[in-house]
Amino acid sequence: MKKVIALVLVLVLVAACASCGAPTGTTTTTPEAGQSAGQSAEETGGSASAEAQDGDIVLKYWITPAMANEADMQTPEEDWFIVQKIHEFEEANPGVKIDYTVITDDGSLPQMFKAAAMTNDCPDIINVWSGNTLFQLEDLVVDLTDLISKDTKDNMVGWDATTLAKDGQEKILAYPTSGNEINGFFYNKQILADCGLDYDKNPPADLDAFLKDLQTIKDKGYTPVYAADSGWSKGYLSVFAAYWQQISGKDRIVSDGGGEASFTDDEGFLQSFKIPADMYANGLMNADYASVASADDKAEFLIGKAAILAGGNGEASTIVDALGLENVGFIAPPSPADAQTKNAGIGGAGQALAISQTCENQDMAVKFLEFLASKEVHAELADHMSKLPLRTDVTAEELNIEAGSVYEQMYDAAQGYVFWVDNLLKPDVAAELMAMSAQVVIGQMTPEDLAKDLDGVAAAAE
Amino acid sequence: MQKTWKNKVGRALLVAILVALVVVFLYPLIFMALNSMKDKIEYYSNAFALPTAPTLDNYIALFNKFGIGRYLGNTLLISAGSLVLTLVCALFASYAFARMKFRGKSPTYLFIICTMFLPAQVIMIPLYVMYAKMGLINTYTGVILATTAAMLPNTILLLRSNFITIDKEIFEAAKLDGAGYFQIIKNILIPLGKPAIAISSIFNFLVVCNDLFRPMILLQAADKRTLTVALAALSSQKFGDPTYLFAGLTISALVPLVVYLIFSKSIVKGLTVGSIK
Amino acid sequence: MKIKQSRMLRREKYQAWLSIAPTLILIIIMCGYPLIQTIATSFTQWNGIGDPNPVGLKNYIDILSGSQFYLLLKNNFVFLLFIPVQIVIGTMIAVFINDEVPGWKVYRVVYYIPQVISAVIVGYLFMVMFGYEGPVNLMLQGLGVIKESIGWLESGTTARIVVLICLVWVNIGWQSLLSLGGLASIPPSLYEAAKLDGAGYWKRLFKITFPMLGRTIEYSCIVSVMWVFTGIFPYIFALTGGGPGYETATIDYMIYLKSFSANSQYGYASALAVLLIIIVLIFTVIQLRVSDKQNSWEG
Repeated sequence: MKKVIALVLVLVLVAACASCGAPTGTTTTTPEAGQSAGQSAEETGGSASAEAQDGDIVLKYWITPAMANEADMQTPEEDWFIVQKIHEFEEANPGVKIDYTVITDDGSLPQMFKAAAMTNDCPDIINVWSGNTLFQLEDLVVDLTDLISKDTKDNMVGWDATTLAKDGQEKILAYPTSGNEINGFFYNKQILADCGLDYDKNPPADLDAFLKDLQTIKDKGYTPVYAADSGWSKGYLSVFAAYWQQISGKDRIVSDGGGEASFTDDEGFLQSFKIPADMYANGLMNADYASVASADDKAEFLIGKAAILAGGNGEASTIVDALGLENVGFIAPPSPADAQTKNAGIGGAGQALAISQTCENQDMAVKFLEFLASKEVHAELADHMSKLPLRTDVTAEELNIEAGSVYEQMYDAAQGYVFWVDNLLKPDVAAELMAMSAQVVIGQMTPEDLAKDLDGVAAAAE
Repeated sequence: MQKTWKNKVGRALLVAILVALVVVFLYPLIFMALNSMKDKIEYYSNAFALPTAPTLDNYIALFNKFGIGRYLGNTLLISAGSLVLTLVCALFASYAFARMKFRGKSPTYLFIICTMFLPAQVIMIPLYVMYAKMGLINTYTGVILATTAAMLPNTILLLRSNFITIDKEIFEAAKLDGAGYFQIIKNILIPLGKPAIAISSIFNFLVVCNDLFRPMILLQAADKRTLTVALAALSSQKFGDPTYLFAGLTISALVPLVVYLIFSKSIVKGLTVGSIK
Repeated sequence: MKIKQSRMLRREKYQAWLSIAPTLILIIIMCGYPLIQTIATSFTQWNGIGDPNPVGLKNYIDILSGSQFYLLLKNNFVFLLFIPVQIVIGTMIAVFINDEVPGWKVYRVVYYIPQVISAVIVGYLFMVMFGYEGPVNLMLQGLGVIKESIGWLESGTTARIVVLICLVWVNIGWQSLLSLGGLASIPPSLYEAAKLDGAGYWKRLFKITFPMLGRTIEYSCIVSVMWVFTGIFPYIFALTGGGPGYETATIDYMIYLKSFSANSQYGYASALAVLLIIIVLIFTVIQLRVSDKQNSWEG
């Protein structure tokens, strides 16, 4: 018993020493920072090969797994693409150290940032969700409108996700990052061929034609559409919400959320739920839409039981691995007759890089973000993540996208994306929508009831 | 109460039910372990078949690429640190509550025990803000302190009720012999209280090992994460490999399971001897 | 003599306070201070940035006049239902183990295992087990009880049932070991006397065993009730995420949601927390009162 206690006491002492030296990462430069940076190098595994010295600039950077793809998630952080980029920047800029921390729970990151902002221990650069999450932090991040280089501004898309329009003025709060995104329907060419369909040559002309095709597929014994809620309203938000955008348009959605217009007479909103709900009721969608776990949410498609998957470009590599590049295709959600915007899928830059107002080296921070936004890095980033660059000057050929492949289809579709609806809504309203959407899709709640519910929440939020 | 079921059929039925219960309790874990040895596609095709070609690929990947060894180390470090700190504080405090007379004993005791009722979520935000100001976020010390504070009331409850049962005369005799404070603890409390101390050690270790909430909020840095938090990240959105996840969960479950199986006798003794009350 | 005694008493007093000091300091800092902060924040509206905005009782009024709080409360109460099941089954198992039914050593070890596994793992596994093509559905279909798979986690009622089953699964082992301990203190002579009087197995079980286990059952009641209000968070987090909608969300889960989502409403969450504490206190006081009455009755 005594030996055990002694052993454990030693362990604790060791731990205490380790945690004393734990990096709290200040932006000031003192020999202490050097020491802790050195130790932090061991602990974070290589944030720099050299130790910081007096006069060094240290930038504290919070990364989230949004900058990593599915393969990255299974490797230690030192090997992540973004970390390698950090090293590149450090080497090109001697005297600058970037002290990065990977925050795995990107849902809590805003809270952590708010709390850190009250202390001396605040990160300089953060990676947050674009849209409303970013806008909530308006008072804590630097207004970048005049700091972004013209080259970057002109050649990048996705600014709608990071620009806050208030009182007639527009403020750019962050660089859009990671990559462009597009969501829609992946299809299994073999199964479609078996049903007499070829979406490469003859994609469905509109929603009605699409539904008829689904019925044909169902009669042949396959699951027509495989979609899942995955715990975060995935099926609705990524795919079916596109119908809301297609019919009502962005401005209407924002007014609904703000309480100026009502969900109840927003036909686009109602349709965006009626369409999947009807699909589900008629057996054109998998029965476990609401209950399948996130890890299993492509299951039937990957093993060739389902013809079509509701998904996004982030999943493309997994799908291609399972089904083979020649066997996969992609279309944006086919529009109903009364759509304002035709055949647009949900997409846009979901992530943003912002600079905290507490940053003492804003010029260097901007320089780093410009580096990350540069054409070279973006080409690599697009290649690594989604194949959909946010920069318009990165062409499909540069990305080695095979002509006619699913990647090219997504690239083309991404040019005409409509933005994530949950990012257009106030957080309360978005949260309520996400909590209830699965219920509506599987028919446990009517779209009209949800509309009433959301109107109530929108009215209650100030 | 001797064998009351003389009826052989009744007895057989009873045993059947109890064995069925064993299956009910073990099946999910076995399911998890078996499927961790499958490839993702094979799992999707048939989740219930035995793996046709059991592979340890997921485990190898977990250790090499995911670095699960590091998270295991973090978990053990925090559990051990918290355990030691809890035991030391609880030992002294329980001695005082059990054997010493002083004004304010009851209210203080009640106060400490009442903090058991406090749900962690209630204090988490102010705690987080306080930690941020003290620079304790993302440190082992911070988590250990928070976990210790949570484990203390229960441990003191247990140890105190155990110490009270030690005969008063033993203390008197020792004091007459001139034993000092620390000597009493060393020579009387620890030897006589060993079963209670052992049991609370094991309990505390198990609970801290499995704790999700505290380390999730207070210890976000990727390299310092505990096992439960690392796996929670895996099981959340945008991660598509269930068999890999199962392998991670199996490893995570094995640690407390092994500790439990080694010490199961003491645990059973501790719970059944009613030293909890 | 008197002087020596009083000096000894004083020394004891110093010793006592010094012994308690580390514990007390730690708890006051870790629990006391945050608790006061929470109470203070409950009277404000605060999203984490800048200074909190005092609004008096607005949060409490919003909570108590809205309908969501009562849904959460209802869920808490529904989950309390697992306690009688746990007590009855757990105690019966204890009786069987005490009887040394064949394999009792194995049962004693195995039944406690659910307590040893992390709540997140348990929750996740249950989610998988009750999936559309999960073992439960397959088994029910195989036995002919149902024709089509039930979407357990898709509707409020069935989801709550799954949570209840999960809670029972987790706690039977704990209850049975607890009752086993209580059984040890029942004198065998009582059973002998009853047998001589001709009392059958079940009669002995319900007339002697259960009543004699009174204190043990009381203890597990108090602890379990508290646990339902404050400790099942990780299970709900991993099993249902509060869903479908908010049908399995409890008060402490909602506190988490309100604090750690994009639009943090710390004031609201703190008010919920204070209400939760009050509810827990009320329950505990009621239970202690009832048990006091019982005990004084027994004399």
